[in-house]
Amino acid sequence: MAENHGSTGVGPNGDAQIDVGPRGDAPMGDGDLGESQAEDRPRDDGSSCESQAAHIQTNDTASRAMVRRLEEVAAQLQQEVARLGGMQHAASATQQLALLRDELHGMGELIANTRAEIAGLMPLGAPSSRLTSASDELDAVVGATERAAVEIMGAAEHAQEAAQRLRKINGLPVEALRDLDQVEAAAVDIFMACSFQDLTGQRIRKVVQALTYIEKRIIALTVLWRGAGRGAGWGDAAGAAADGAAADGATADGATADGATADGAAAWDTRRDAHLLNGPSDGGLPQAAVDSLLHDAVEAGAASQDAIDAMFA
Amino acid sequence: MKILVVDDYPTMRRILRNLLGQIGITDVEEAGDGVDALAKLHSGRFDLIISDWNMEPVTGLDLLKRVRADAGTRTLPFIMVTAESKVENVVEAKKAGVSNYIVKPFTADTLKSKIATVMG
Repeated sequence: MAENHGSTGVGPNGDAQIDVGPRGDAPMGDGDLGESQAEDRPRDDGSSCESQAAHIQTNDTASRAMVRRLEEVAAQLQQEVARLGGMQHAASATQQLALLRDELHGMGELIANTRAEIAGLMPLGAPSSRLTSASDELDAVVGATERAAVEIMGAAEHAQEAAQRLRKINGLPVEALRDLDQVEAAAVDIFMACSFQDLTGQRIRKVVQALTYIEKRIIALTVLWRGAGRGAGWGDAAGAAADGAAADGATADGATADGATADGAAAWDTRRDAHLLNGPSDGGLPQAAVDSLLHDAVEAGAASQDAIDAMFA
Repeated sequence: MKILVVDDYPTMRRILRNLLGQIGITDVEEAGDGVDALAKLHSGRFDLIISDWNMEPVTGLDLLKRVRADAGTRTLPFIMVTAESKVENVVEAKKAGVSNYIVKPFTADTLKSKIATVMG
């Protein structure tokens, strides 16, 4: 049973935040005992946070914001504790199934919300009415950044061409030639900076693949419970979406039949070297390390373990 | 010198073409994927391939292996320019016969240096 209901992270404004998890403050399922049992337990954890918050409250705006954040975190933690308490005592299979169903329901809502946030990234004027999936929406983001990169590169090319025309003028002073050098060098720098579009595109496509994969599996699992009399809200949408998912192979059976392995990458990418295709990575080798590795490999005929180990030293 | 630039991102092909122009290489052909690249390799003569790795349906690694398996292109210099920068990526490309390996994002100097290295 999934037990990860919350996460810490950084909010849009850079402030730390703790998400309650997929279910947030949604009511517990039919088989849940969490709310009442949580109320019976002491609330030291939440009240201590609140008392600490009260203690440090000052007239300073930043401090007030911090206090508000602490209060939110305390409230979220209380909810989290209540829900976890409910899970511990949900001993029967029926109760556990109900909790699992709620978790799936919550994850579906989370994905739906994420898709809505992604849609919010859409540039003005984009044909949003045609966007029916997270993939379409993120593809549109990639397309928008590509158009921007093309415009920037076009402007840089104009600068390069103008600099080259100016060079042909006889008798230009040394200072002017030096400035033209700088213009052309800056144009090259602009071109190189535009490679961001390729890298962000690869990262976004990776996210789309993962999101689509998870979404299909959750929808397929939700189908299993469609007849259980639950599923208001997202569940209704999921039911409708499940029809579409079934149409492209993500049926309830398909969730396990088409390779939903622990190594999910292989399931959504059938290329032979899919296991090597991770896209841009903050933990990858710098160019100097690649050079070192290649140099060693050339000399030895094959990359030695020592050379590989050195990369991690 | 005639170079085949293979990348599924038009932006990156344009960047490479521009940078190659800056170092005096203007005879450049572009391919949007491995299949297109193989077709161009069969129809023309090239001195160097500069290829991305992460493409569909034929990846840069597949392209490299096919280039090395073909008697007509077996010795053709091949530079991989990719964001795939894990050790296993470099090792795999080396095993497949890559001539050199550039990690994105890269600089114009790096590109110039690697071309000079592989072209001798």
